[in-house]
Amino acid sequence: MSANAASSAATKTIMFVLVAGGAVLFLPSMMLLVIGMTPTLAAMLTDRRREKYATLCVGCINFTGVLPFLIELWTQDHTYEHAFQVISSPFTWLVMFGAAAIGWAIYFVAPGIVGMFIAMRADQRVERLRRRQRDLVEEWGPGVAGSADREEDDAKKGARRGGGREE
Amino acid sequence: MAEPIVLKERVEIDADHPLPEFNIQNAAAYAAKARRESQGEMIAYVCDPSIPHRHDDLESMRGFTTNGLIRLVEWGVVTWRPLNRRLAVVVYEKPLGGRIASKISDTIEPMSDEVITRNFLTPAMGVLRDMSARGVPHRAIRPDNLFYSDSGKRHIILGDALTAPPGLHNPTFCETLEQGMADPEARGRGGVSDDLYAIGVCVIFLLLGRNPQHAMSPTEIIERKIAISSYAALTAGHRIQMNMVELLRGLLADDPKDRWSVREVELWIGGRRLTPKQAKLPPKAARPINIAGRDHDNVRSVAEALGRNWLVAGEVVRGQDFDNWIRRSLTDERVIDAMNKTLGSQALLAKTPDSENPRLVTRACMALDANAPLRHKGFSAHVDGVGAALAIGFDREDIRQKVADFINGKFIGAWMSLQTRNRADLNEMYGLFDKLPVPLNMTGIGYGIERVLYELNKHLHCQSPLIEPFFVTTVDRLIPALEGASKSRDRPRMPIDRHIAAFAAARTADVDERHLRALSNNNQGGTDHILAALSLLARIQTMSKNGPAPTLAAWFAELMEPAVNSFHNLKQRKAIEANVARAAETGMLMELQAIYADQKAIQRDQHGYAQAQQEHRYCGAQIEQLTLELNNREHMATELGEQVAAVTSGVVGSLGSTAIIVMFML
Repeated sequence: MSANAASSAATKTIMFVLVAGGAVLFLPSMMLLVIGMTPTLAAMLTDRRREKYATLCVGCINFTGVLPFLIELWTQDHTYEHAFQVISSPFTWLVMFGAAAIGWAIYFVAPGIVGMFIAMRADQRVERLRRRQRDLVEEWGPGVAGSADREEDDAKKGARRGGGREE
Repeated sequence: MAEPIVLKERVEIDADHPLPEFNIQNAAAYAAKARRESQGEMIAYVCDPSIPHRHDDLESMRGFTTNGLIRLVEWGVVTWRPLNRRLAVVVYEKPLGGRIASKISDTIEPMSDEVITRNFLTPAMGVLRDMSARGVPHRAIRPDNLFYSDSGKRHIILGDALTAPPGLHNPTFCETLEQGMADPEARGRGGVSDDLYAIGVCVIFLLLGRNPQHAMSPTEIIERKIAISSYAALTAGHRIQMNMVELLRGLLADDPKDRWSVREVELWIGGRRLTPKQAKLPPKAARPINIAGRDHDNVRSVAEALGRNWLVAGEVVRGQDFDNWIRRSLTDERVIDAMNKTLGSQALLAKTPDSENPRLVTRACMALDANAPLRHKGFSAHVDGVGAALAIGFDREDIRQKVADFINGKFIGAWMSLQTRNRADLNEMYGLFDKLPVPLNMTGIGYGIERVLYELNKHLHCQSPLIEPFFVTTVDRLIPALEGASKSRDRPRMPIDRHIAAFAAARTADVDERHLRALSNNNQGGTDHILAALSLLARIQTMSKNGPAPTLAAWFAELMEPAVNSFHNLKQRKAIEANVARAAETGMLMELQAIYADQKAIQRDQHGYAQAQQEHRYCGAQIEQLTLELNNREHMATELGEQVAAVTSGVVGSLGSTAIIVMFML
């Protein structure tokens, strides 16, 4: 085992101790956060992509849904009773999970909108290029279009060199 | 009665009224009459276009009036309706008494010496003297070309001489030895001395009432004349009155220096009588030499035999026996000097390759008989007769080859160095013949044997099959003739050929080597070749100032269609087509040429086309790429959409969180 791996394990351990310490110190907030961020946890577990776009997408909005209750907890009474009281409210669940649902909605709708936008832009570009090609053919004849018409073009060059009808 | 054919507003020719009794070998006779003046009956000779007429002499003989010659009234080129073509026509006053002999073999009532002297010889001398003053020899004096000028059939006049090259139709016995040895088509201009000889032949005919020699072959006649002299050969043992013997010996002397002049004949007519001179025969060698199975004992006969048997004569000339015969048997210092000068030593001859045999024979012949025609590969010609020979025999491959070999042989310089008399006209001919091998041996259009034809025949009409019926003799008639030919349904592909190019180059300095090089260098029938032809004809049209030629221009426009179609830019092509149509309508070839010769437009078109092709390809590639992108849209949309969703969520979350914090803080 290399020195890097040992160092990484040590870092993880220190982080775990700090988080565990923090969790013990802010247990009511942690409890609310863990319960409120469950959709994000689920998203993280189902998101197979390395970039974790779904987790980010759901997490950001989900956290916005949890944040008002956390602030309420911190500003009113940072106790287990108050935390249980907040958690037991259906409105709290609605807000936190609703926010997560909005995150999911953004995650599912965005590719469709982006796809539509890409297709529209590509179609416009293709149409512009085709119009330019038509203009070129109109101005220079079908020979300009390439291999299919090159034979005709060569025939013309032949005419320039060798003339038209035979005697 | 059909409309008469009018010549220069002076003469009306009745094409429905032929006069076969006046026909000559190369021209048919038709009745004619003056339009305004009250003149007698006339005959119009409609010339065979394959035989060149004597253009310069016709001009010199205008207004020539004398008792002893058929009077030239007018001449020119007319549209001869029966043949639907243009032809040269020469109009004479009609001799009222008709022909003396219709054929050379005819027999007539013999005439007395007094009648001959008064009614033939005296006027004939006047004719020869006056013609000589104009520098024109007759060269067509023969028994079947004599006419009675009056209905009483008393006065004899000489017939037409101007519709054919000098001496062409004269039988060999009517010609001097020098002229008779040449091919009839290549006899050259000759002079008054040759006419006086022919007068002598006619006097014998009138005295005897027939031609004793008419049945003999030309070769036999020449051999007899060499062997026993012209006088003896032509009288053939017939009794000639004593008073005429002196005249005939003087006229028929084989040595031109001994032959009587017009002045001497006139003195004889005036009554001077001298003892007849004996004929001077060529000196005989001590022993004969055998050539092609026959013995010959004098230089003239040997030269004639070598020239006639040229295929075997090379070996004879190289042989020691021939050298011995020249130096020991002949012992003529003048001939030996000439042989040394033209052939060199025997040792030099031995080194000469066999392929040079024909040239050796030619040189040997001219050294042996410097006054005789030049003989080369069976072609026997006087220098000034080569042009006519080529014009008459141009359709024959063998004649063209003979003339080409003759010119490439470059014999004229050597021949001139052997001449005792120096003729100014020969210097001119030498200059011309010296230059001819260069164009002759060039293969391009405008050169070759066609160029030689027109260089040697300054007034020959253009022989191109396209415009031959238009009888174009000068370059300013070329474009109108081509305009006429353009209207024909069976016109050839190109409005120019080797004859037209050679004719133009020979007739005008306005057509120079650049035009001919462009015609020759380019692919025959290709666009560049057509353009070169257009350029040449445009130049002629401009310089000749002979008006528009819309049909010819349309012909060129049709030929240049592939060139116009080769313009890629369709708008430009349409513009050029419109310009071409406009220029063709004007009939000015120069305008047409200016359109086609715009090289910058062609370059612009080609450059623009290449760019357009490149751009088209680029657009295609772009479309292809975009199509691929569209096909992969879902993958891209997912990839990008997730990123967009993450960013959007991040932004919305951040904004939402900030707003919440701010709300709680307030």
